[in-house]
Amino acid sequence: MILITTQDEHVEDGDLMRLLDTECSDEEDRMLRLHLATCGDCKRRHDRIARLSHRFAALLFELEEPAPRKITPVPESRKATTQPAVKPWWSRRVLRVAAVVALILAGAAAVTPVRAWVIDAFRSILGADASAPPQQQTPGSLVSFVPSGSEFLVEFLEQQSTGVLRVYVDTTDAASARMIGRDEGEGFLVQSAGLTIRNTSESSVSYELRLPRTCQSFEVRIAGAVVWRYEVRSQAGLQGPWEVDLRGG
Amino acid sequence: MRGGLPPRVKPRLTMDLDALFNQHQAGLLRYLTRYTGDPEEAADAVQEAYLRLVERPPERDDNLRRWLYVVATNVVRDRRKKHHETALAEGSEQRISSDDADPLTLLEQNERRRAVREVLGKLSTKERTILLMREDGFLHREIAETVGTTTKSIGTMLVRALNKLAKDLGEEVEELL
Repeated sequence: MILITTQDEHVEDGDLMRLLDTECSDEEDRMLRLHLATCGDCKRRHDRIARLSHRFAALLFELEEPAPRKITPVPESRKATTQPAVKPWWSRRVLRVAAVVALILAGAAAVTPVRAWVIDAFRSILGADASAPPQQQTPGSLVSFVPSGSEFLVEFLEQQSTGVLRVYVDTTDAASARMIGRDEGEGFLVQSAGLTIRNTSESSVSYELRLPRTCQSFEVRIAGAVVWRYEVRSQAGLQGPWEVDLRGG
Repeated sequence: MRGGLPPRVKPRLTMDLDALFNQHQAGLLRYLTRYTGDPEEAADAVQEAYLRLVERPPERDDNLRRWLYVVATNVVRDRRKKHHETALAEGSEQRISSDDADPLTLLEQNERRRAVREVLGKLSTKERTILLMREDGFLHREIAETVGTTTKSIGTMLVRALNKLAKDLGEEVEELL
């Protein structure tokens, strides 16, 4: 918890970074913004860190290049060498079953703690994990699609209490968007002209958007008002990255 | 209370591997390319991380994205240690052929990439890891778990790393932007 009691005190750099990354609690966020509104020194340091962060993102953008080859989860070559012939002798099914029987017999005669371990080992050998309930896959917050036109519109339903939209430009044909920070149930809705983000005024998450360079224009609207617009002025295509404040300022 | 030896239950992956791959592969490859400076080396490490996920999955699969990043980073570190390499790779320059529309643009691109690699190469591996994981949207808590520090200190470490870039490499950074 950050405590600032007088105007003579200043906010530490680490807390300014936490504020930028929406890592603060609502109370901390409120206190820090209140302090920044009246302390020129801290405000300057905050803006400098934001600028450095932005420049670093721009530097990384220079490294974007396509994957050198197609990657698959498990390549065929590895499947061939790891699966059939290299199994050790004790992994053969008959021997495993014999081991299970021996363990059961031994376990039946054993004292209680050892018996419990025997039962667990038995489950482990058969690959059955009866104690663990099946887990549901968490819905991913990433959306990826190919835009249908050369204009791209991102529409936020409401202004947010905090958070930013970071926009990068990729060399691929696809656009993608994802949430950064606490997931509060916002959703993406793919539209023919771009993307609608179903947020609320209480939302504090940030978003990362990747656009194909083939887009000719890019616009951000928050609660119906255009807060950012960019149009291609050179042959190089859409350039980036940008950062848009979701408070609508 | 039930005592005895700890249970030995082999962890199993409950998520669909293809879905997991499609979800994280591009981001992981981008992170590793930035981390290593070499797209080929990055692709190798991505492949190896997914293989380890199949062969030796983690006991808990509630944050597989971070698990993949940590494993892939370790793969790179281990390989480099083995070959006594610590610096960023030179990277692969995009070849210029007669089919390319604008060779001058490609040359400029390669030059800028080389300069960015130089800038990143001056950071320590820990600084590089925290800055790049932040860029990929990880929470400070997740970054802290990865590099083995407290969540509170990540903000300070991030600012120090950015200041290091600005102070030592200010001119180069300005030139690039």
